[in-house]
Amino acid sequence: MFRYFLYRLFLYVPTLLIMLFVVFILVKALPGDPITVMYGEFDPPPEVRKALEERLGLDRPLLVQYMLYVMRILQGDWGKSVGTGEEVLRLVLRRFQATLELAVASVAIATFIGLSLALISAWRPNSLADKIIRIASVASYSIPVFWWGLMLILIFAVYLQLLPPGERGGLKHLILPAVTLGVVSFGMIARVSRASMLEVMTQDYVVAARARGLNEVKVLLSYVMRNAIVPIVTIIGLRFGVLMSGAVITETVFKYPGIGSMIYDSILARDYPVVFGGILFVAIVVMTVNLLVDILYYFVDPRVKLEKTRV
Amino acid sequence: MKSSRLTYIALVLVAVVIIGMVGYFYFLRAPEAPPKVETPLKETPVTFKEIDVLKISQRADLSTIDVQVATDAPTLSVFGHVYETLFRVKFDETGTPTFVPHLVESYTKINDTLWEFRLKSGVKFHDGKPLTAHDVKASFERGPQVGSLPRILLGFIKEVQVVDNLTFRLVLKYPFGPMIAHLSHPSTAIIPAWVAERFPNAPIDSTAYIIGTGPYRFVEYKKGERTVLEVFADYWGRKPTVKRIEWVPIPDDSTRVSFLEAGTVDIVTHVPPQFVNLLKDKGFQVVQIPSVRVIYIGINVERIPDARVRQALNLAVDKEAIVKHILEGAGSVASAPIHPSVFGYSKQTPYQYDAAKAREAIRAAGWEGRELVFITPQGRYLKDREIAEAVKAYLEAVGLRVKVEVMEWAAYISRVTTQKDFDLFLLGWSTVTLDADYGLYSLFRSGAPFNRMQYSNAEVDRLLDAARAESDLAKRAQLYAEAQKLIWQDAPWIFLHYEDIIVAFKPKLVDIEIQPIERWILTYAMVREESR
Repeated sequence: MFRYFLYRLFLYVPTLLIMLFVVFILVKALPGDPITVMYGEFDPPPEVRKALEERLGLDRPLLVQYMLYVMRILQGDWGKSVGTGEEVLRLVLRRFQATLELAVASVAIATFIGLSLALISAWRPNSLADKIIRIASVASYSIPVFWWGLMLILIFAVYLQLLPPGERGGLKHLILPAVTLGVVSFGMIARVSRASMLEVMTQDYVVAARARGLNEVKVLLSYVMRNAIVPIVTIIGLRFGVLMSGAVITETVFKYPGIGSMIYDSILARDYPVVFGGILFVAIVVMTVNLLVDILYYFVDPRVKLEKTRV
Repeated sequence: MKSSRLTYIALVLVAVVIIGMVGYFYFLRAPEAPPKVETPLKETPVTFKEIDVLKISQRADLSTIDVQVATDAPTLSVFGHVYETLFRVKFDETGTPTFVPHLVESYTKINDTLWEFRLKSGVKFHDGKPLTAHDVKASFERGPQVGSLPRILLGFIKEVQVVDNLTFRLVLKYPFGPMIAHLSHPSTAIIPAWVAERFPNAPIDSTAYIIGTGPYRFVEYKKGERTVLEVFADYWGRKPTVKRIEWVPIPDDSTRVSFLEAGTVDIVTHVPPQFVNLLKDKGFQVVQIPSVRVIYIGINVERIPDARVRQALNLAVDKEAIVKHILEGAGSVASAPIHPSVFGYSKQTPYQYDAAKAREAIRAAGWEGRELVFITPQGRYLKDREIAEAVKAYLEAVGLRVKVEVMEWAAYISRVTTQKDFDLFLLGWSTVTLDADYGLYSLFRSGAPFNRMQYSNAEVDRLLDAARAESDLAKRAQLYAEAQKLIWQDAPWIFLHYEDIIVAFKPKLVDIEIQPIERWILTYAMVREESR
């Protein structure tokens, strides 16, 4: 277990470096640069261009820029936003905290709804309840997320005026965006869980448990759920990983200051330090979440022997 | 099996239809206008209350924290509350601008190229230091080094001479008619000398250096989230009635409007035209005024040197239809390269839409079937992409082929600026000084920085140079009128329209100043209350 953890940790660094390099090349390959964007319809004075290029190191060869960037990151210097001078690390941490709150809340909502519905569905397959749940699940992720977002804003913020339409600040502000994201992801969780449970339902040990007269709740929770959990953990982990990198559309609709919209905006402004800092941070987090999910397998499925697993 | 599948499909369809109908009828349809309440005969006393926090949402966040670097209206609107200029512009009810001394107490003309100014005494910067002539000198010397706008606006100054602490002289390179207008633009605002000297040729790198003499101090900035200004206790002028202003950037149009509807913000700017009636019906105040921004399609004159072809392009496009149907009335067809409220404006005969005539001219010039590359940004100006698509259709209808390339702003602006591999490009230009020099010289003078059409006409150059150096207003106006006539005939643009500004705010807010140069001044806003 410990050795496995170390091994994965060891793989972290080269993966991050390669990823960062690819992003570096891609973003630099985009036409336009931060200085041009800052000056809008105008041409920046050449002296400023020179001074800023020096400040940002944009006048060096690409590979040198990359190396210098990595060196500075290793020294804990994440740089400053080109246009507005805000420190990238502080900005990223603040935005990430917002994203984390949103991700946890929405995954909790999606998991609760998804698993409950899957249980009902799998308990009596092809019943009316099952059919309705299956339609609802498909509908939930077929309808685009911005539609859900705008509808919730219209109902709860504009007409009923119960909740704020967005921004960050306390639980009240979190509800609408979290529910929106929860709604679009519960369907996926419900479908995967239902399929996984149905498969387990037909296993001999479930039939045997029922034959022994165990009560249905016990059968469902201890026998079915327990054994169906691996794919469920996988899908929830994946969903969580995706949300960690920010939910740009939801953040935009609710003006929620998450990390996704931060990266998106800074790509448009060619604010390189913020783009790289944001992506680097997200990459670290997503890799950590994946590792945690792998470790979680160990606990939910005793058959998994992490030490011997090849990555 | 088959029937159950059919049931499914039917169920889903019914659900979709129901959801759609409920959504449409219940939420999107504007509610009926509330019944008009008869005003009671007894007069209710009206009081005006000061405001603790005023929240305004613009379309964009600060693009830079350096006032001398900033070029965009949203950023300059924020800084307009923090920094002050030597003169300032005021508009009367008809929208006619006048320029009045602001930080300046008095000024005298010594000769055509030498002016003496005396600053008001007792003006303080937010760091407590008094405003002196040295700050003016440092600001005017640094501005052109770091900013494109100050470079244009202050380019007429040869030297700033400090006479004493409150007195300075401007030595001009040439007599300069629009001087006072230029000294009213926020890009010529006065910053402390020590900040100017610390960052002589690069933008400031921290919000700690945002120090002005304006009614508000800059207290907080969170990128993409908000900018907070608080009233400056030692302000020299009339005491502001708003204690704190929060600027919340919301790029998404629907979200911005819903923030106003939900009461989260008090004012929203850049309201899309389709929301105007909805907001009015709900009792919000909506102000729609013409702005000084003209939207045009620049024609690469090097590639299309034949003026007859360029005129034909103008004839081929139905500008009125674009304003009416694409902008939904939020604009007016351009009648000159500059807006009517700009000094020096001279009305031209519009190119009346005439597809047959345009087609004939294109054929006669041998341009039939030629392909034009038309580049356009998306989301920068009101309905820019839709306008480009419409123009493409109009031009194809008269026998040309048009390839529209929609580009993201950063890529677009560097292509327009550095490369010349296009035939047509869509851009906007605001004559923010309200003087024709700014709207014509930088755009149509040969070799001028924003003459991206590469247009050159020796007579136009002569007129623009002469107008710039002329101090007699009537003569200047005459010179600009002649220049505009020539530019209009040469048609280096497809002249499109002037954009409207639409701002909406809460029912009881009063005294919000909305200027046609896309700036809003909130310093003296109040809440109107009817007490009994």
